[in-house]
Amino acid sequence: MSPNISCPQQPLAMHFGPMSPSLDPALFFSPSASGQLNLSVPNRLTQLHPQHQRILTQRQQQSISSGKLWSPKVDSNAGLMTSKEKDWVIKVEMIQLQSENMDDDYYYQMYYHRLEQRQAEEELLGWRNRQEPPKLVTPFIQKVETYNSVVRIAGSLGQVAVSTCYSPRRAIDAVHHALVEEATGSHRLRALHKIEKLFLQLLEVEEMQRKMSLAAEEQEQKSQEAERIYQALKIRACSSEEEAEDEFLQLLCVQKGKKLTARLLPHLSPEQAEKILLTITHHLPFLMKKDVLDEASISSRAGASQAVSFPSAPAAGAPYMSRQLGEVWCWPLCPPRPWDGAGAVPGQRVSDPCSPLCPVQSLPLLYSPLNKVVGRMTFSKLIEVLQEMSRPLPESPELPITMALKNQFGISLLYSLLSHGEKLLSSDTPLEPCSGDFETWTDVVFLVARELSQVPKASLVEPLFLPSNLLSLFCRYLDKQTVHHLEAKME
Amino acid sequence: MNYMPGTASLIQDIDKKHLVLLRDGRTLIGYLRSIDQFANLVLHQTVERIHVGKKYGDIPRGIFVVRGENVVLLGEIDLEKESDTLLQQVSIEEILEEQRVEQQAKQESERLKVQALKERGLCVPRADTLDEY
Repeated sequence: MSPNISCPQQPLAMHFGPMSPSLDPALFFSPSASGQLNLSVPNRLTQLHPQHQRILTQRQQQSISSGKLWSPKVDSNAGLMTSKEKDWVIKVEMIQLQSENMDDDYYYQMYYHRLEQRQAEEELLGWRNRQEPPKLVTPFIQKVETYNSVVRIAGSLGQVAVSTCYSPRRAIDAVHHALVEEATGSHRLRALHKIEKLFLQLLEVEEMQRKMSLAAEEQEQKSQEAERIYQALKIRACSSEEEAEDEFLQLLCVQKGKKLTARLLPHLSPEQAEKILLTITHHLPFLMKKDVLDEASISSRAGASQAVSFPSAPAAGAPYMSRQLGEVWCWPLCPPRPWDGAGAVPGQRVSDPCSPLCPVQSLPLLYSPLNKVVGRMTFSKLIEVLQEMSRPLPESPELPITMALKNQFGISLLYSLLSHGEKLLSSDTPLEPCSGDFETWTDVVFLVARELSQVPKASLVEPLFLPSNLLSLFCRYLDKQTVHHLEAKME
Repeated sequence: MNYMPGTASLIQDIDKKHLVLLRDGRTLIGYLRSIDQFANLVLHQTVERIHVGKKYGDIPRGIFVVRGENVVLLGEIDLEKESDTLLQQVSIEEILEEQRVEQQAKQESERLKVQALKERGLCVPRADTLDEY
């Protein structure tokens, strides 16, 4: 009877909807972007995967060339959403995209910086003509800085929940008051907690550094913050031998702790940085040994190295990973290495750095910032550090220097120290050495030369960087033959 | 999306046919009529499509309003390509039967697995159907 009512029972009938009435882009968007695009067909090709882009352009061309028309069968249900409503949604989305601080937007902003840099480079190389990457221009809408999620009406007994688009569901101010109780928990857990806390502080320091307008008070603030982190690290005087108890060393055993220290070093004063260097050198054998161990295997702290327990036959009732009573087995901060079942013998430690089974060493992270610290040291301080490395150890017949030669970080640090010493000696600047410094220096040089010649070439590890003045250093103290021998070794 | 580089918006997808995958595993196909800032969707002439092996069946459902947080993904359906599919459409009864059989087989294998593990002294915590965390 009424022919206008369309039969709803056609789920399979395909209606070809027309293009929805598109809104005028010029209202909201950057004029520069619209200038380069074909306005008649909304160009959605801007952000597609290049493969996808190609497919779509091909199809468009095909349909145009084959003369196929967009069949304009009217979709009677189209247009449910009016353009006013669409504008409103777009406006909300744009507001959400506004961000002042990097925290919200780090990846997007980094991506865009790099894209712009790459395009600028390519433009410089003459590869393309100036094409600005399309920029996102958001409408300038004043964002409410503070937002009370809860409104107290004077004289009322309760709170009224205010919901906005930022937090539609926040009904009450539920503030997390629970203080993390640090006293309990294993050493390792505490160390991990501490690293995370200090890392956040470090990020703030770096943020301040980035924003630095060289205003004096901001510099002051930044150094205060850096000082705070340094104090929190509780770096003890080198007399302490108990490595399991030293908090700073526990932090350094974790890869992220090393990263923290490496990134903190540029922000510290020279004395503080040198103290860190001294501590690291003092405990170098311990750190080198710890570094080679796989972090994922640690399930209890006893100071000594732990062997991984591979349960060959699962005991009845035992969970897959062995747990200590009362200990929490926490995931390592770096992803665990995949175990090669065929290659690894259960219980055996793979310490050969060239083997694919060997866990990645993270001490080299510290090399670059420590190298810079070394480059600024005075001669006396340098001697002090070198003395640490030549001090004989109580438990082991090997000298720290010899152990260092077999470790990538160790050998790089050693070379860096020697190189700096050589630089100081061969330059004209007055050294102001303390008494006994020169003797110690020559002793160290001879010691290094001796150990280098004695250690078999196979155990010597290639350093991260080989300074050029080492050979001239050796030439001054040793005879030609020895120098040639060492040269062959160091290559 | 066209003039907002690096962003995604559903505005361009209005009035087009979409396939929506929900968090509970259901697949809905319908015309996207309306959205809001939470990506809540209004689907028109919706059909719930059940896939079992190479067969599928459609159950017409009418109008759906889907809360945005329940959507896993959604994508526009190319109406030209829609018909070239290797899948075979069957009736609703048949597909529901197939689904029931598949479900049963899965439960059976799960049961065997749990039993085998139990015999070896291991227990696997039962994954809740309601989500992660």
